[in-house]
Amino acid sequence: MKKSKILNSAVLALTILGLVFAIGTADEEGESPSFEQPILITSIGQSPGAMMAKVLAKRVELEFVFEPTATAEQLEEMDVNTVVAVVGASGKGLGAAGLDIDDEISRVNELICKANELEIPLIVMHIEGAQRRGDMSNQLINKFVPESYYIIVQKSGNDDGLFTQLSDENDIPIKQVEKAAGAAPILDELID
Amino acid sequence: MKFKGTKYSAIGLLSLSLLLSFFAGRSFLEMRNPKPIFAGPDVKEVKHLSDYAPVLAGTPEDPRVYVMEGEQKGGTVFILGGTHPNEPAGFLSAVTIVENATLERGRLIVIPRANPSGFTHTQPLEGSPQFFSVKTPKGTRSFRFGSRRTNPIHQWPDPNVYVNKEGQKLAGFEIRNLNRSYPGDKRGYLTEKLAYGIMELIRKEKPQISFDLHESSPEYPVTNAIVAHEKSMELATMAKLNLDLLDIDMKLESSPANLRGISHREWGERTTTNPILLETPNPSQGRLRGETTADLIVEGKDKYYLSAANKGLLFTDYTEKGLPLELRVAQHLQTVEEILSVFSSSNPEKAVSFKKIPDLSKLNEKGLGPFLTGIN
Repeated sequence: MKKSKILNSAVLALTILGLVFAIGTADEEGESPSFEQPILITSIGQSPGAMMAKVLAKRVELEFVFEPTATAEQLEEMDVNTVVAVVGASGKGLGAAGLDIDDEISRVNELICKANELEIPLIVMHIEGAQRRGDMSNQLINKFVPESYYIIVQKSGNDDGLFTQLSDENDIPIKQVEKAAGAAPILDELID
Repeated sequence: MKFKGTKYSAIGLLSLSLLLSFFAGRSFLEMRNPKPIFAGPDVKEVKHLSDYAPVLAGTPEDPRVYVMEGEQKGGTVFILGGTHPNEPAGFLSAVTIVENATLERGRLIVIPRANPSGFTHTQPLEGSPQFFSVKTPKGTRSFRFGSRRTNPIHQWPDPNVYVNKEGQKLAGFEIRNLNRSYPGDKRGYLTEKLAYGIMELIRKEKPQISFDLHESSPEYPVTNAIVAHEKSMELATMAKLNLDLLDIDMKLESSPANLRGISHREWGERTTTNPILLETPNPSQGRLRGETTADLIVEGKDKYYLSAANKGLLFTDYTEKGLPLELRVAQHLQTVEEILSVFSSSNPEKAVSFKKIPDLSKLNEKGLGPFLTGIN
């Protein structure tokens, strides 16, 4: 009788410990969904950061579609399971794409709405460092980073803590890398 | 007290003014004598641009073309320095390559002084020095600091509005800016003929990659930058990621499709080459600078830039150490080397690789002087 009581107590204690551990782990990792290939690599702001993400995706052999100006309609036609959007505004890039900042905001808004509708998770990256932070980039960061399920940022681009703040406020997991190339193994680890 | 002139005082004043005119004139005309560039060990031929575009023969815009060849066959790469003669790191990077580099594979075609006329004057109202010097183990070597534009002595007058060959409307003086004149015109203004000549060289030599080496103001967003046409953007990106690992911060910029007349756009649109333009930060051309001295050109130290940097107004790091010329040249050379390395590894049959080139570590260790000793 005594033995079974001890056994029951031990099982109960282990269950409680397990639950505590499970809750702790869930908090630490946030509530990020699983990210799967193939991925769509697109831009938010038309800086060359999206091309950098393409080169990094190639390095870790991810299956991807590269479309810096992807629209909601195009996303619907694509067979992709994750959207990786690289944020960074470039006046030259927007001009080359025939867009202004309002066009770009509207395109990305529609794209994210469609991704949510299709239950395709969004990863936002900022991998061009401090040089790709300015009023226009900040506008895009503040608007679209809260929509993401995961943030990857090059440390010098987060010197003022904006990405950390958005991560904390919106409970989005964040990974910071010293160099842009450091984003490649994170993508590899994150995306099945 | 009243001074009463006599014929002796008139002769004296006239003689003094003639003497001053003589020295001023001699100094002014000295700007028209090009400083020598010495052919290094791998220079196999020195041509003129008029060999590609005879319309330039006998004009002030017929720059020398240095053809370098490696031991093994490979691809061809074109390097243009001195498009803007007030951007000395672009010019000196090309000179450093011509005088020092040795090639393992392929050919390198280098024009260090793209706009020779621009080297014969300084820009009005800029207060720029005519020369700057680099200390070398063999003594001090002097170089010309020129103007962004062709000398009006050689091309004048400017129209009110310049509409280039691609229909881009620009301020009238831009008609003397080589990097607004592409694709050029063999029947056009002198600078347009020069741009046409460079296009002809690219069309005839078919380089796989073409570089245009520039500098920009530290307060201009496109500095520490690789500007790439769509077709060279992936190559530039791969090189940029490698440069990050060497702590060389070069950001990427897209060549704007709707700004016509610029090298990275027109070379890419009208030839088979992959165009790339590089920009390093140059305090001696920026608007925020104080007195423009030869030291500012070489050392890049300016208290007003330091103050602007402390207020977060610059697009580059700037400390009390300034932005020395050797560092800016190193940035150019390391970026060129990295881009060629990335290209060569994915196109081995068209590889162009250096056996020896002064890179970042060598320039950091020794400075620029030992590589500009003028060995012929």
